[in-house]
Amino acid sequence: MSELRTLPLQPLHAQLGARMGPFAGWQVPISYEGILKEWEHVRFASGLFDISHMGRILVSGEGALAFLNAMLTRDLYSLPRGKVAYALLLEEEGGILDDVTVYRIEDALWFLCVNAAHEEVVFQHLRSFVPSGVRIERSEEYPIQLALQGPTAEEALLPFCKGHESTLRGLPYYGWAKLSLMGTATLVSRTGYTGEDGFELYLKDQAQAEGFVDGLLRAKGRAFGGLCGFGVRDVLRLEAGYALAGTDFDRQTTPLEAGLEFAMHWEKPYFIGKEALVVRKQEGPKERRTGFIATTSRVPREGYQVHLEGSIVGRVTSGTYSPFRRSGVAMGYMPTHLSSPGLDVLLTDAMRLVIPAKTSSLPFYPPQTKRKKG
Amino acid sequence: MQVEPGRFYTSDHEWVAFADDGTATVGIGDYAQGKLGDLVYIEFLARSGRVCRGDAVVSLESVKAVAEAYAPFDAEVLAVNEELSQNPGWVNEDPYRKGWMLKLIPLCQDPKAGLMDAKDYEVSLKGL
Repeated sequence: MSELRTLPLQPLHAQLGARMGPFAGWQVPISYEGILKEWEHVRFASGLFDISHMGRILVSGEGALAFLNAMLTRDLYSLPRGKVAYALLLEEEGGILDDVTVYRIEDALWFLCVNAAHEEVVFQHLRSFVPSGVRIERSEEYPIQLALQGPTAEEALLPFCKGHESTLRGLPYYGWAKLSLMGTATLVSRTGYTGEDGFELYLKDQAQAEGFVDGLLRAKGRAFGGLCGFGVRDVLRLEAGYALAGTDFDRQTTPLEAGLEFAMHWEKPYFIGKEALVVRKQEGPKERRTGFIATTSRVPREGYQVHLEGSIVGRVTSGTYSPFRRSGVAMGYMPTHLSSPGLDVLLTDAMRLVIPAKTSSLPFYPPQTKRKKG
Repeated sequence: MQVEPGRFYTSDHEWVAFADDGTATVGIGDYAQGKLGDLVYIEFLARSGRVCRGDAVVSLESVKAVAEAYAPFDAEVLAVNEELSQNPGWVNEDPYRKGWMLKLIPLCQDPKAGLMDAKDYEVSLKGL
């Protein structure tokens, strides 16, 4: 195994006593104060995540809009400047290469945030289709990416954005703005992966980021709970029903099975993968991404089998303990006709563990994201 | 990380407290609870009867991991800490007291053979 990459803020995480671990080729903070405590920070106040491991790609040039519109499932022509879209990058056969957030910076300048594990695949895929006049590069402008998430995230962030308070307050869900964070230009979007209101912040340098983290920690109290690791991030996203690329879907999965049709604009005349998906949609997907709620706190985990009346009918792709549900929860795949909620199943690790569970709709936690129109 | 003096330890991080009446109490140490993180589920795999050294006797589930605690020697299970089923977090909060798991009657000549005392255990943790 190749060596893990380290985050720019690694010294700070070490100093703060984070338990570190590997994720997508990076050494990342898993937890600071314990997952349950960090869960409370995000659900009841706000918590800060270092997500600098994410891939950041710039697409620029006259033809950038037309090019990306053909590559991604969303209609980018209808995406206003100042907005972000969640979109999928598909193979011709309809399999999902990655899910991305795409920022319309200008008509000829687009910013993509992609999953760390797929950065190279996405980069090469885009490059293999790129026409002349469109430039694709890794964004070096913002090496640090933080996420401040939770119902009081706005309140916690405001004191650092002097002179830009109204911009921050007015930022709609999936809107972005460039504003001054402690005096340095920062890209801020009202996005996240926790099911809460909150922001993702793209910062220019380490000194600014360290100053910001330090300032937040000094103000630790009502609006800001503390730093959060990748452990709780996984709990929060699972509760919110968000699928993790590479784990809950991959190239073998299309958006139809993965329940990601909301990220597709079928009315678009063309995008890579559309033709295959139109056929598949007519046939109907054979399986569907499905939620499972365990009847105990026992945690169903990735790779567990789903048993119904003695036969294996489905699989678990990820699971966790849900503090909100006070039980184990999971997502995975079930045959379409068995994917509706309320079905009694057994989840097993193929060894000894047998966890009784019910199929469930997703999410497990109703999203509290700020659904303000932009 | 706290090592409780006067207890004995396994290389799997269980602790054993021997009482004057010949019984032994078993739990997992501070190092193990810290590694596992917040525990959310505890299942006793043996509630009575004989267990052999190395048998999995407790199944522990934390938010992010699943682990087992093992019998430190051949023994008869006298009691289990039933309260942990409702309060698995006690193992994190207070692993050496409220978080005890089993009471055992050793069925071997020298139950301390193969265990480390607190000093040796502390040294072994430094190598991790």
